[in-house]
Amino acid sequence: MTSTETRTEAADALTGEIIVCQDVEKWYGDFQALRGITTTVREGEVVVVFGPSGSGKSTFLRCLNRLEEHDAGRIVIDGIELNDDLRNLEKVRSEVGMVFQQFNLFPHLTVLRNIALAPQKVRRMPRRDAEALGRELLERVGIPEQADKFPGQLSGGQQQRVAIARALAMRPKIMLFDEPTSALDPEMIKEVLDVMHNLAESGMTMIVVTHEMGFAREVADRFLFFDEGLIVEEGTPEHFFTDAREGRTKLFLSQIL
Amino acid sequence: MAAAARVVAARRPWHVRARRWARANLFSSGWNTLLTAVTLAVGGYITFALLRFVLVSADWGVIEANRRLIFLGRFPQGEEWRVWPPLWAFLLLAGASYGLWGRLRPRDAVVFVLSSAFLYAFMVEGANALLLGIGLALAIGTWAASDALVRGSRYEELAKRITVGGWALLVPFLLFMLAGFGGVRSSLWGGLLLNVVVATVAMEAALVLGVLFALGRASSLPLVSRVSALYIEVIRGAPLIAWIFIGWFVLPAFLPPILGLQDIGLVLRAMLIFSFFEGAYIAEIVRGGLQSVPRGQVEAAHAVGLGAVRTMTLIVLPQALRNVIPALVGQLITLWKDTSLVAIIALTDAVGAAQAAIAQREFIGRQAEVLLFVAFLFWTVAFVMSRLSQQLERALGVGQR
Amino acid sequence: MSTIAIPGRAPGFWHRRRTRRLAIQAAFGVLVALILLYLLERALGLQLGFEFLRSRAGFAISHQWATDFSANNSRLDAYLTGVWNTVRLVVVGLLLATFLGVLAGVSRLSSNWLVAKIALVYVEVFRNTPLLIQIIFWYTAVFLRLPPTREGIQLFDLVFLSNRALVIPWAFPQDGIGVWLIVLAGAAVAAWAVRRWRIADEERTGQPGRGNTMAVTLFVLLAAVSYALTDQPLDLEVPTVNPPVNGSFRGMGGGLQVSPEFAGLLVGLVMYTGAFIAEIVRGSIQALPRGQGEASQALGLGAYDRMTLIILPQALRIMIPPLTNQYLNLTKNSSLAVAIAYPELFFVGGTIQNNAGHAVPMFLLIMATYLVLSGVTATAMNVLNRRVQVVGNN
Ligand SMILES: Nc1ncnc2c1ncn2[C@@H]1O[C@H](COP(=O)(O)OP(=O)(O)O)[C@@H](O)[C@H]1O
Ligand SMILES: [Mg+2]
Repeated sequence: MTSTETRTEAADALTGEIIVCQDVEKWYGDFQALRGITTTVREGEVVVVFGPSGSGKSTFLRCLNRLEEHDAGRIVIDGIELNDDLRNLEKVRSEVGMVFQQFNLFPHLTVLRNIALAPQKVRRMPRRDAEALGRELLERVGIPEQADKFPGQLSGGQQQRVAIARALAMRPKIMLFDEPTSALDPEMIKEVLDVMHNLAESGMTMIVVTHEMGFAREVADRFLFFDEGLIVEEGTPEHFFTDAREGRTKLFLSQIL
Repeated sequence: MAAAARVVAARRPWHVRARRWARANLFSSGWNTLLTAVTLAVGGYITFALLRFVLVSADWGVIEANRRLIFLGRFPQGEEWRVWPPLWAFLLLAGASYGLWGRLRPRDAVVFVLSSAFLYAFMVEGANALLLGIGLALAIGTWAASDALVRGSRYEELAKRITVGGWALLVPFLLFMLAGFGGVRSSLWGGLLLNVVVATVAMEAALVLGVLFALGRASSLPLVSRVSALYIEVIRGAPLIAWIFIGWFVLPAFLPPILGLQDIGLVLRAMLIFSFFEGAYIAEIVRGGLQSVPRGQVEAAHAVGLGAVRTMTLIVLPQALRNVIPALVGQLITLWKDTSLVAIIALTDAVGAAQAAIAQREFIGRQAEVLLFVAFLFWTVAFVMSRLSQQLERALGVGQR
Repeated sequence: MSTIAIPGRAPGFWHRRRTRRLAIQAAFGVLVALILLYLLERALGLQLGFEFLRSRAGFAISHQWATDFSANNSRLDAYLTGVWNTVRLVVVGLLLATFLGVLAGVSRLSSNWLVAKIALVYVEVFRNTPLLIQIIFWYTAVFLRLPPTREGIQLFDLVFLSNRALVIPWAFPQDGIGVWLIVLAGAAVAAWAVRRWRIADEERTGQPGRGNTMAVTLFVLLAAVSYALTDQPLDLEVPTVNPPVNGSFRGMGGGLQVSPEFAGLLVGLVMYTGAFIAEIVRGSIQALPRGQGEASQALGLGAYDRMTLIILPQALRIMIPPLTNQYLNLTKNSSLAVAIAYPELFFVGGTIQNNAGHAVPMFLLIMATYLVLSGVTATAMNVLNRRVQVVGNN
């Protein structure tokens, strides 16, 4: 429509910036959860977000696929601006996959139906193809034998791997992970992190909220440290582990390491 | 500094906020706007018709003339004073409980002031106004005293215990005041008073019976559990009105001819029927509560050396009851509404009084006024009970850890 | 090595768990048996047989629909007419209460503030007022207060309101109805087959199959065409004013006449039960973890798919047990008909008992009837419940 919009798209394509956030603000009533987030993510980049509880990490992620509407600023995902346009919403939702802390699998559907449902209904894929895709993804996350069970019959780690497969089935360009291992028992954390590790190596663009700093250090290209609704510090993993600048960052890192 | 910035940024002018609110909550889409318009038309018409009836076309003289009948039935003239002490005791305990456990929120205070004003404007006159004033003063006084002085002091525990004991004694006290020392025969109790008496007696008895039958049904002794289950299912299988008729027609033939048991009045029989009937429903609710207590609790109790009885009464039952407060109060509200059924067996409770008032020659065609008024009386009590249950839930932290 | 000495001894007879349990059960059993014996002994002095049901009833039943009872029929016939009156009241009541309850329950969750508040007021008013008063109110203060027949109100030529009867449009079956019903059954089967085929096609190609739309369209089309071809087997009547002067409802005719008793009871039961069902519907939808809706949103499912594929199937399984309770309550509450003399089973049973005595067998029969009615409702709901439950509940 306008020349600015085309220019943004062109610019994005040039630099490969797949997520652009500019001064994003979010209010809950009189409480401001995000106080001006500005950052960009390039295609294939893995960004790890961490920070104290209540600092706005989840809110930030949820704004990126519009589970929450931001109140000010702009968010552009793969050239699509997030605004009131419902068509944009539909496009963005199917390009951005999300994995939740509490898995949120559909308990009344089998594992395979959990995965195949959205490709069939949203991507209009034939059932046979969708289920074949489902089995392939289950293979990829390491639990092909669980296809016909119900979520309630699986362990937490297995459920979270199904949730990852379910998100991947939409062939998203971007994956968001909100503390994917926080609800898991220690012995199950590794199996989920391994899946995410492989995904990162395959070139997926990922934003991961996690406090598993060992994993983060291995896969992340960049860290974002959140506090009180702001990005307080940003940089490579090495930067954070060797010479973090902000006092708050150092304090927080010393608490979780 | 950061906090100050937040607050400043949060305050938009009120008309902007109002417009935003209306757009989000009333006109968010074309469909929603249409919905708002239709609901506004229908709801507005009903509200208007109701208001016009209440304020303009209704003739409240029928209530004026039958006030005594609706509240007391055929309670003898000159014996009304017996009602006041229990009512004062109730208000006193209510004030103390509110001060000790509850928290007076502005909205509750407004409701309280409005309902008192309503009572004074329409319901009471002469000496009754003074007597009710004593009760309200007692309620406010104990509330203020317990809220400001007792709460947080070293007497708080003691005061709480006295209050709980007071509640337990309230029903016996009520019965004693009505029937004691040359009192009034139960066949003359009537009006809303009768509903209150039957309801309160049956509530206490039904709770006890309900817990007993729930424990029986959950028992590991097969005979006890089968018999309890059979009782619960048979009672719940037939409607209350059928049981009331059975109490009316059949029960006398089955009562032993000793101690004058065969001549017990209708009111007493109604209390019996209500207790055993609602007891079966309460038993099912309590059973649900027993099942909701994790097995680990029983094991932990056994591990610290508690026996079966103590485990049940000290550990499991308190948690079970706490978990089902909403359902329990819901059942007690049902019991309260169900007391109106005694009107069908020709007792003059509030509904029976309403029917009598409707039948009076000079008030032909005044059904709506009488029924709406009586419905409003029942509604108020039921509504207050449901609100109290919410306060209780919050005070006990149900659903929280 | 020597064995370790264990102090103490085996428990004595009275301290064994088995003995204790046996003793308690025996004592309990004797107590129950004594009570039963006492009741039996008392009952033996009363009339216990059911022969009295064979005698002539001797009273008429004012409300009949598809029955043909007169005072000369037996008391059993009278009772069965009452049972039939209960059944049709309850069936209509259940359908309407479910509809109203779902509407009000969903409205309470509406994003439209006004709609949500009005639903809330409806629920709070009707749930906290005695049903008996509501029924008496609808009957005496609304339906009996309508104008007499000769000044009855006519709405859009479709409904006629008077204190003798409400007349609503109705379709009366004519001669060709049998053939048409068979064709309708065929049309239903055809529609079902088309729906299956469209769903299979959607799964094969992925393109929207529109199974429901096509099936409904086909059914309506077939029904309409066959209706015309079989020479209109239904006689559609709208209420007319001032037709035949003979007959009890002078001054009106046509359509279906609903008595004020039936109307008052029905409206009372539906408004009351609907308020409870509304709370169940709201509670069940709210009981779902928020994550379910969010996960389906994050996957890109639209509002319709989200509701029909994710939310409703799960809410339904929470909803059914309490809903069953409400259905049973409505069935039992229909006995409040005694208050306004609508001759359903309890009222007729009471009348027979009044005329003939025999209280014990009469009430046993009444209770058995309610147990059967409740049993049928509960069984149907249990079948439904089993179909929607989930394996391995988390
Ligand atoms: N739906 C909501 N309503 C009101 N406040 C919310 C809501 N969601 C989150 N918040 C608040 O926003 C802040 C940020 O929350 P969140 O993004 O979940 O933090 P994090 O994920 O970093 O722990 C918290 O203070 C939280 O209480
Ligand atoms: Mg979070």
